[in-house]
Amino acid sequence: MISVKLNNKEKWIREGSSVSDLLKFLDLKKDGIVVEINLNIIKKDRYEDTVLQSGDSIEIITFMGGG
Amino acid sequence: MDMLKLGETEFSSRLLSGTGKFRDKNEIKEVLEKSGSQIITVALRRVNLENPTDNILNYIPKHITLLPNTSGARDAKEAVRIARIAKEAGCGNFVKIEVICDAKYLMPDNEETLKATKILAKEGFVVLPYIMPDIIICKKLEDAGASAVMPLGSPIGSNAGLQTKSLLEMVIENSNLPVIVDAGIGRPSHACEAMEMGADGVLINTAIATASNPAKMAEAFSLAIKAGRAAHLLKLQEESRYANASSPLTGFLNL
Repeated sequence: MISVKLNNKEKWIREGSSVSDLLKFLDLKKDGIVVEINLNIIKKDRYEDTVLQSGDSIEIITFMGGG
Repeated sequence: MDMLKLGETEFSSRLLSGTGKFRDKNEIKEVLEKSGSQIITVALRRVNLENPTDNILNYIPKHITLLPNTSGARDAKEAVRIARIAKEAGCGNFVKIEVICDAKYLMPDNEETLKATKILAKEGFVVLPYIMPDIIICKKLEDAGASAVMPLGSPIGSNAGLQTKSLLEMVIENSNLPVIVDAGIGRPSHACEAMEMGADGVLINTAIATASNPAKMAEAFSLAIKAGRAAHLLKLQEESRYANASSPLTGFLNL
């Protein structure tokens, strides 16, 4: 297991997990969200082959109501 | 046809809507239908992983232009980051820059807003900056590549109307960019007044979203905006201190 920061909270995930694995685990669809790792936006077609590293800061962002 | 041009896109409606504060997100669709609004703002936030909520985009018809705001940004760097995330999410290239670090009045930071505008306009965004009405910042934003300016009428969500009226008049008179009055518009009469003054559009969120019937209020705002615009295009008559009789001053039926 490795430790990452997910939306500013510590989370333990299986070593070798990709962004796709994480989204599956969290039960999130990739439409309508954006994933940032260490402030870099990850393109959706890279979710499969982007492997999360220990200490990564991951942000999962979506749209909300706002003015 | 009298159109509002933002970037390369022309809009027939001059009412920009927001998606915040709705009791029921299903009301958004009817608000857009009744008001004819073609642009709507959305915000970006972290997904609540304990309790993921519906994506607001699911409630907005596809033909509507999305205007993601950078709310939550406290400086130019954060605003740029949020704008890029919105673009990546497939939101198009419109962005409302909102840089705020004052929690009491939610006043925009014009200086940081200008910095963010410079960067994002170069990246091809259609930049609509939310600003304190000031003709100097408007000129600088124009030079920086903004597509419009969005000066505030009064603090966000205050419903207090055009408290900055004389500053707005200066901005409208001097700006080469479309002027969209944003924030504080609480009543259709406020929106109408802004349009009569020559604003190119108004952005309304709170006053519609929190109305007892948002769709009907949206329609009322839409009518007010159309009336104000029509009057502005016809050039309003001058005011006088004294009366000027509308009925003939001869042939009175005096005994």
